[in-house]
Amino acid sequence: MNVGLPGTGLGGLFYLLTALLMPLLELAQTIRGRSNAGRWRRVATQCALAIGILAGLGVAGLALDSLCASSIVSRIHVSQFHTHQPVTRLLGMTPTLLSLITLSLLLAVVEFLHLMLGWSHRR
Amino acid sequence: MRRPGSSKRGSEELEAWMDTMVVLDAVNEETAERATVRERTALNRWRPRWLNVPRTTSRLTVIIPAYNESGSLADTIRSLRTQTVRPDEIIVVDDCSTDRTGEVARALGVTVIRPRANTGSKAGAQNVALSRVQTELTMALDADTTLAPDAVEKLLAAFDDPQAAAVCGSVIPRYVRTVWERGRYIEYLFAFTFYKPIQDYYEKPLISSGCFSMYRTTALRANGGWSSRTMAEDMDLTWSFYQAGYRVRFVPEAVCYPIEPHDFRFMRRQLRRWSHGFVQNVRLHWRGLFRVPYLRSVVAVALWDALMASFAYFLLVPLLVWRVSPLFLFCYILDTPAVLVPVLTSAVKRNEVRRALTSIPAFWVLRVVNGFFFIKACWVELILRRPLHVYEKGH
Repeated sequence: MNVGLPGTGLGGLFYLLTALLMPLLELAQTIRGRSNAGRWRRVATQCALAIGILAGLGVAGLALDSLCASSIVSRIHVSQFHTHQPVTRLLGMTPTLLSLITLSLLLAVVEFLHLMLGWSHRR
Repeated sequence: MRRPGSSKRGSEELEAWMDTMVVLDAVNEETAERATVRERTALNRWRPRWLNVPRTTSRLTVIIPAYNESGSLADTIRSLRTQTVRPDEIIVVDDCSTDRTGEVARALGVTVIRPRANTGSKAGAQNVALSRVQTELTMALDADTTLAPDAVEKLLAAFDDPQAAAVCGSVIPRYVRTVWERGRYIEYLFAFTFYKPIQDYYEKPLISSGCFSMYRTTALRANGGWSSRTMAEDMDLTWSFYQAGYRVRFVPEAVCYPIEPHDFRFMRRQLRRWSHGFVQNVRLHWRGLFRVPYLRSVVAVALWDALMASFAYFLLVPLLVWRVSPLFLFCYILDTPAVLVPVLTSAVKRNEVRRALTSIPAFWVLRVVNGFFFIKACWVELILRRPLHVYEKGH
C-alpha cells in the first residue's frame, strides 16, 4: 500500500486522473469495436468512485478552510483585509495546484528518461 | 427443477449420476491416492444441471510453501478442496518446519515435499515444487490463506487470454480484530476497490499478490520460477513478466483471506520485508520499467509518495504543528473522506460498514508506521548499501 501525503498525495491524484480518463479511452475502444458492457460497467464504477473521492476531498478542503485558515491568517497578520476569504480560498487551492504541478513534472521526467534510455539503447 | 429418475432419460441420468458419485467419493477420500485423469474427465464431461457437483480441473497445480504453519494449513487445504473447480494436485512444501506442518498436510492427503534443508525463502520453497508441476497452470497460495469457494474458477477464466502469464484476486484479511489487522483491512479495501481495478484497466496491476496468484507454468519456468534476489518475489515476478511482454490480470471477484499480522512484532517483520522488497525491485528493474507504459508512471508515483509521505509525516507536519498551529495535526487524517469513499463502497457490498468505520483510526496509525519502515528501507538499501536478505514471515 503506497502512502500518500494527506491532501496532496500524488498517488491519489494520479489514480483519480487516470480513472477520469477511462471513459474517453473506452469510447475510443467502442468506436474500434473492442468494448463491451462489462468493460463499460467497470469504467463507470471506477469513474463514480473517482467523482466520489473528489467530493470527499472537497469536504476535506472545506474543513481545512474553516478549521485552519483563520488560525493561519491571524498568524500572518492579514487582519487589515476586510475579509480573509481570498486568502483562505488560495490556501485551499494551493495543495491541489502544487500536487498537479508536481505530478505533471514527475510524469514528464519519467517520460523524458524513457526517451533518453530508449535513445541510448538504440545507439 | 426436474427431479431425476422421473422419465426413461431421467433413469439413465440417475444411473450415470450414481456412477459419477462413486468417482466423486473416491476423489473426496482423504488418502494419498488420486482419481485417475480418465475418471476426472468423465466427471467433468457429465454434470447434471440439477446437481451442483464441484468440478476438478486437470490444468492446475497448487503450491503451498509452508514453514511452521500447522495452525492454519488445514483450513487452507480444505478451502481448496471445497472450490467450485478443484485443482488437479495440491503440493505442500514443508520447508523443514519444526512443528507438525508436514503431518497435518499428509493427513489431509496432499502431496508433501520436504527439502533436505530449509530453502531460506518462500521463493525457494515454491521452486522446489515447481519442478514437479506438470499442469498448464500453477497457483501459489500461502499456507495461512483461505479462498472464497469460487476463487479458483474466477481466476481460471482469465487464462483464456493466451498472453496472460499471471492472474491475481482480491485480498481481505481473515481476522479483523487488532489495530494492525484493522489498519490492513482498510488498506486492502481501498487498494483492491480503487487502485487495482484502475491498474487492471490499463493492463498493469502493480503486483500479482504472492499470497494468491495463478500463473501460466511455461511463463513461470521461462522466468526461472520465483527469484529470491529480493524480499518481494511476487513483485519481482510480476515486473519480470511485463518486461517479457506478458499480461498480468486482476480479477476482483476472486477473493482470498490471509491471516494478517496481529501484533506489532509480526507487522514490523512484514513491513520491513515489503519496504525493502519494493526498494530492491525498483533498483533491480528500473531500466526495464521505463519500457513498460503506465507501469513506469505507477512505480514513479508510488516511490515519490512513499518518500514524500515519510518526509511529511515525520518532518514537515510536526514542524508546522510546532511553529504554526496545532491544527496541522489534522494533516494526518485530512484525506479520510477521500479514503472512505472506496472503503465504504466495498464495505457496503460486504455488509461490513461498522467494521470499516471503526477501523479507520487504525489505518491512520498503520500508514504512519508504514512511512517509517519505508524511509528506513531506503536508507539501509540505498545509502548504507546493506540489502536485506533474511526472509522473515509476518507470523
